[in-house]
Amino acid sequence: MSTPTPPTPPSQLRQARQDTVALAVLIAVVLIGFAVTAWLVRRYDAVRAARAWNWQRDGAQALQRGYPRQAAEDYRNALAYNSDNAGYQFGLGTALFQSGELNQARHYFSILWQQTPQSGPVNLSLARVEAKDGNASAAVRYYHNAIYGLWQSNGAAQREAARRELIAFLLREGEETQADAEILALGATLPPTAAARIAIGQQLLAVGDNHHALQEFRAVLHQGANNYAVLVGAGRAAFRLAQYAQARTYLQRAVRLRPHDIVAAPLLATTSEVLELDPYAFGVSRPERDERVRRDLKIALARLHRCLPASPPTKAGGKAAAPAPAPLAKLAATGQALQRQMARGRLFHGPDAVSQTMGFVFQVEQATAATCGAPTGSDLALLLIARQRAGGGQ
Amino acid sequence: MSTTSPGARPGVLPPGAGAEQVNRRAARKWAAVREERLFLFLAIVIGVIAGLAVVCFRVVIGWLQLYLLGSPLTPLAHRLPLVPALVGLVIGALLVLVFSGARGSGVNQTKAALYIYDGYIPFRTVVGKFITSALAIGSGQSLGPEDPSIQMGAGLASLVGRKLKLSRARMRLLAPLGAAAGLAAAFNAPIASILFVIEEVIGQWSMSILSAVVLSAVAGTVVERWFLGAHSLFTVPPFELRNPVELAAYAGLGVVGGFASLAFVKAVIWLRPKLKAMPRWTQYFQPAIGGLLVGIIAIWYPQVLGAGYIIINQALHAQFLWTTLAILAVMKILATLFSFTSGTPGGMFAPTLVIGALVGGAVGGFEHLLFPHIAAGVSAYVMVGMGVAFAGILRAPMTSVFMIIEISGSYTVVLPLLIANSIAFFISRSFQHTPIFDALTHQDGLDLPSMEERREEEVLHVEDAMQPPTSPVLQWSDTVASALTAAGDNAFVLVHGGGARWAGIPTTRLAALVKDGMGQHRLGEVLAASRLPTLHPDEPLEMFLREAGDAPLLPVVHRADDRLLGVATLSGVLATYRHADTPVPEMQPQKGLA
Repeated sequence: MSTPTPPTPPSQLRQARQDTVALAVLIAVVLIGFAVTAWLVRRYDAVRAARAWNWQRDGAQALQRGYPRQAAEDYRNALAYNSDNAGYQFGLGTALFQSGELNQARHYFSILWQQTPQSGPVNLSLARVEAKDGNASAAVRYYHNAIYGLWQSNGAAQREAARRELIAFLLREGEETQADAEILALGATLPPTAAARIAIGQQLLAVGDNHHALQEFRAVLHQGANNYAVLVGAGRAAFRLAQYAQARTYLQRAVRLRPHDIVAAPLLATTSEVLELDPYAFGVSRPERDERVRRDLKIALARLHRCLPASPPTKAGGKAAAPAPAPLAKLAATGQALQRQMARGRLFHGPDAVSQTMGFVFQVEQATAATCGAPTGSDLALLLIARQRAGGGQ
Repeated sequence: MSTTSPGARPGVLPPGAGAEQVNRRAARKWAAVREERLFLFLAIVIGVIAGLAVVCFRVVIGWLQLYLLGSPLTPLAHRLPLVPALVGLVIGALLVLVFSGARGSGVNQTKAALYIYDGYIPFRTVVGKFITSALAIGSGQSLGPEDPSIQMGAGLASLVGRKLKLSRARMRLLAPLGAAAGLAAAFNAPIASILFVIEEVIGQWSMSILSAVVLSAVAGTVVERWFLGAHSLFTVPPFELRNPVELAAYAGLGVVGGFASLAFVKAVIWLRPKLKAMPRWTQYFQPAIGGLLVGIIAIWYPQVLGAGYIIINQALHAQFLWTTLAILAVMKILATLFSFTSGTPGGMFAPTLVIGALVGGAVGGFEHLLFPHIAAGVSAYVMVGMGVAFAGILRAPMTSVFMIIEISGSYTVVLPLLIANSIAFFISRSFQHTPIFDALTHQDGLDLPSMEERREEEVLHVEDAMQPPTSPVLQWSDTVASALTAAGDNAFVLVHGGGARWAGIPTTRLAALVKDGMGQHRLGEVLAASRLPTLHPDEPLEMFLREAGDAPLLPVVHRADDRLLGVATLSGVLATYRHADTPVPEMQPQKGLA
């Protein structure tokens, strides 16, 4: 038989009732406290948000007016009231960057980057900071992040602008190979309009990628454009690739469009000279070739003569005003021998006569270019032929 | 208490008295169970209430700052000397006329409530603390909201306990719960808050209260995050220890921070009693004069105003030159000195962190200038500097480490933090024996337990009282007669029963056994049922008192092989307690005694 539970004493019952009431009151107090606190915090947040918005508005205006220091101060005030606002942090970073406070700007952008590492604007800003601070590798990394990052609106245009900025940065840094790759990538993303292709072609020309530049210009020409810039670009690219016949065609068309232009005409003149002086050109007959060799030798000897000191050493051993550099003196001696052979009509005796004579011509042009400065006119044309024969363009 | 009826003989219960006793015991048990169940629930409720109070407190401070000092970070120049001074007048009047209990930071007042007033904090003090501290911090006095939050939390907990008519013992436990919740809500750092309350308020780890403190602190933090957001106080740039050699640079910060902390503590301890000793009517004006001085400093250095978390953020983001940071550190020390010693209610936590951050930034910037390849950016030094000042000024070493880890969210900072904090703590302790809170307590004429002294108290061990056995150690196989002969003048002899078994026998009993004709009996037969507890040298000395019973001595044996190392006697133990501060010559190791 189980023992009956003793009745709960009245004092305990009273205490239990009091506890229940007290706990109910306590919970009611907590709930009222929650409501009051919530109201207070909401009001306070609203006041702070309004102050923050006013400060950021002032900051944005100061930035637009070109007062980045004032803008930074305003954005700091805004952040004091809304420290989590990414927009204000970005504004402060931008203001600091424009003020030249690179370390501080980097701090703020880095904080944003940690929150949204894929953000295009943040990466672009960090790229600019690093670029200005001379950290090329970090800058390129952030530029790439920006190009492949997320943009809230108008993403394609923003990415294109970021890549163009990267290309400009790489060109400033002398990183032409990387710049070339970026230009080609940019070309692939752009719509195939003439304007876009012309811009890409010109950028490729700037980094020395003449092959791709010529492709771009040809593509535009195939679209039916008869644009001066395209023709000059194509002519220049072909010229640099030593495709002189093509270059002359493009440049002639360009000059026809603008007869008095100072860009295409000199290039056309040089191109024409190359084509007229080149004894190895396709389709040149043997007499014509010999004639060209003779003409080239005369031009080279004249250049050598101009380049030698005013009073060359005499056979009698008379004293020269200034001694000629050893290579030039040697070339002068060889030149005199060739001149004598030419006078006797024996220049082309022997199987390698043309090669030997033209070899001498090329040596003269290269040596005089090194000693007496860049050649012009026919000498430039001969030098270009020499380089073409040696295997290089331009 | 006796409940026998009049005329009843002592020792004989009247009819029904037994049932009454049973009922009383049951009532006591019921009350204990009731309080036990209530306690954990109350821990959460108190945490929530304290959290709500602290949220309101912080919001009101922010609002007051907005309206008293203006919206820009740099307050308008014409408001600066006037606002803190005029508000100081109001605070002075309130403190003298209405809220006299609201003076001070709040930490000592909470400890006083705990240790002197059984956890009682008047509600008027809570209200007074809220109003006067909010006015002080909102008007730009160089004080923080954390310490007042501790007192407000404890005060609200006390109020709840009183309303529920809890026992005195429970009331004493409630105040730390409120304190932990208040601090956790103010700092958004629950772990550091729990540690601080245990390290500085309660003074000891006890599982019975730890769980309640944790619940309360968590509840307070949740409420704070609910309303004010989960973001930490500071946005800390990524930190990386580049080179182990850099630890030397942090050690340098520990040295500089330690001496800066020392200078601040010494100045507070020197100036405060002088101001307190001035005539009572000056107390109306002391907060105003403190505010005026702070306002004058702020005309040139507005960063010293208020709690100063914004300046910590700015220092973290390297917005100042090291020279500026050094000047600001000096100015912040002066401003906090004026504000605190003037009796204006408000806490020292935030100014301590700011001073540390500024000193850290200055030292970091200077070291970076000298050794750019060793010292990293300033941000890490700002963080470590905060911990250094916390360890050097408030002398809460554990809290200082965890607080910085918690508010920075960076574990990598722990190594430099440990090194720099230890050095600062050592310097501060070497040149200022009494911690600042204890010194302030003494200045207020109170005698509260010093937690640092408690931690530093020498714990006596058995080995401190251990001495070589004066009597021969007998074996189980020895006869009673031979034992009596061997005992000589000793009153008690030890008998080794082999292995870990020890027994003891008074010489008088040996003599009685011989007299009874049992002289040839083996000791083992006589002491078969007897066993003497043994001690180990590393055990606390109080173990002797717990274990000895009637035995005048106990054997002290080696933990590994139960070899006898010596004995502990009652007289030796008492002498060791009496002369605890006098060094006792070490006993030479005794070998082969057993």
